[in-house]
Amino acid sequence: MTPADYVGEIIESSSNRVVAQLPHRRDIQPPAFGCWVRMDPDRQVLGIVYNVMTTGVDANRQPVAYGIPLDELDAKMPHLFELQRTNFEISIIGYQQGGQVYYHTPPLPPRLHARVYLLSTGEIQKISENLAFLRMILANPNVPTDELIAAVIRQTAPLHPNPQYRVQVGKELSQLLSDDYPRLKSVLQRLV
Amino acid sequence: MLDLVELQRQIQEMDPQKAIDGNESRLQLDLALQLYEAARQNFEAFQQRVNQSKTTWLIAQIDSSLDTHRLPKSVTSDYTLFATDGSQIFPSHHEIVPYFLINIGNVVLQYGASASARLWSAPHMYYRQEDLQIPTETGSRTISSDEVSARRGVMELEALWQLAAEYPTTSPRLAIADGTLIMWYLEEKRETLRLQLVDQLRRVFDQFETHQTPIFAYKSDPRHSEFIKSLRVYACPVPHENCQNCQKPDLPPERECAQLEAVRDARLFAEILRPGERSAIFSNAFKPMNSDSWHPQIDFFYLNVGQFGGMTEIARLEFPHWMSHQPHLIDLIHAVTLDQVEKGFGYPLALIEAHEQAVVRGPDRELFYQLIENTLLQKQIHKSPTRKALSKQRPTR
Repeated sequence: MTPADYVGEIIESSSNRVVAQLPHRRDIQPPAFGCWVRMDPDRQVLGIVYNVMTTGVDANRQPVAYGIPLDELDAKMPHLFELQRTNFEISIIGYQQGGQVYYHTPPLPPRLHARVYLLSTGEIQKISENLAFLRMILANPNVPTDELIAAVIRQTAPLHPNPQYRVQVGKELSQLLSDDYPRLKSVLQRLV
Repeated sequence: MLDLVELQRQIQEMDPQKAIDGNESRLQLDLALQLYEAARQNFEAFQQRVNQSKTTWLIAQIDSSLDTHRLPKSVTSDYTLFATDGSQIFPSHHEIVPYFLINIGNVVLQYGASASARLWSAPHMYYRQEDLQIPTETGSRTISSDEVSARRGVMELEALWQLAAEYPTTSPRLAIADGTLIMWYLEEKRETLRLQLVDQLRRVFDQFETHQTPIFAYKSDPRHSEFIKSLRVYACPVPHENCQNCQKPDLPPERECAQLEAVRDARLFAEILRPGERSAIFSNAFKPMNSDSWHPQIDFFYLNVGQFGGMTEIARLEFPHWMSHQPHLIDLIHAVTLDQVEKGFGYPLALIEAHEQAVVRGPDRELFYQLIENTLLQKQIHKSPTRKALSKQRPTR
């Protein structure tokens, strides 16, 4: 089995939030909280994963506890994997067009059933260079903004050749959160 | 609309003692146990009496001694189980075009070293004249709900063989069906449909036997009294019972035969079998009435699958007669059933999942009707359903 080149398929789409479903394969792990993704190759929408959830495939059936260790469960109850789906939610932070990155809401959301891809290190370096994405995260009322900013920076900073990246982020945040010092402090503490 | 106040009053009036089927008394049950013990000890006399009986009701035939209740020789955790179940949307003459839908749920559960599972459903739409019209003496009529159900029952078994044929595995393999393998209802069907279904049925059973793949049906809380009827024959005070012309007035009203009438097999075996034990193997005596018909010889045993919700659960397992000669196959279906019932918290997991795959719930049903309507519109068919059907879809105030 070759690894899938995409991490999800869009099952709910809007201008600022997308829900995608993980391909139903045992060898694929969901993208982590704070991961960079691009969606719908035609529309090149950019986003950050802010929630991952695994639920029963049938809303009428509530998963129950079996009291069996997880590694034994697969041998005893192999059907359980067939009855679950993993979805993840993405906060949209911008889009690309003609090689340019725009840090505002795209004119059209990604299309339903379009695919979601992880960004390469090079893409992350390019897109996160401009810190305008921080404002986009803060502007989305549906996401746990402080946690998400901290997680994104923890994953992104080590990929940057610029050793001052984390400092720049700190400065940018101090402006964005200038009216809320305790909050700024709590976010900065989580960047490390 | 349901008048819940009026309904509640009627429910209150219900007599639960009479409403519960099999309300045998302890006394009747003790009598059944005594007769069972007598039959066990005098097995040859019992067997002779049963095999010579000419009752009109079906009684269980017994080849082996009644002492054979036992646990499976080994427990198994390495096997591949196939299961199917079906559901249908019946034909309705209120719809624009006549059709019916049969949805078959398929399950393949492979346990052991390379554990895996496959669960899916396969819909089958029927709209052709030959599917919908049943010839009669005066012409033809639309297929009935009963006939659709009969067709579904045979399709479930066909699908079961398909699974077994397509999934060769090295681990022991077996197929489980829901309910029963005794298709007595086929006998009541119109000749053309009956012959067609019997032909399909025969091919399926032949395949299972040719490939020596065990197939069995699981019935939870069975209502049968075939074995009790054998005990009743054994208890008959007349040397050659003649139930159709039974001289009841001449016989004492408390005669044993009559007292056993309310007892069911499962209730008796709940007293005899310990958890995990199966009964002896019995043979079902059903024979098709029509000379051109065919039915497999079906054997069965009862199995104490354990305690669930404080109650002992007795299941009935039915299987083709050829399996009875192969003790390892009987042991296999016995052990696998216990494993499945444990996994499914009281009911075989494979059957639960097959049912979940087969069932067509409200929203899917709505979508199905919508798809048909859209397709008809695309094909420029503007005929509407009957006024009655429309009024049900869009009630007015």
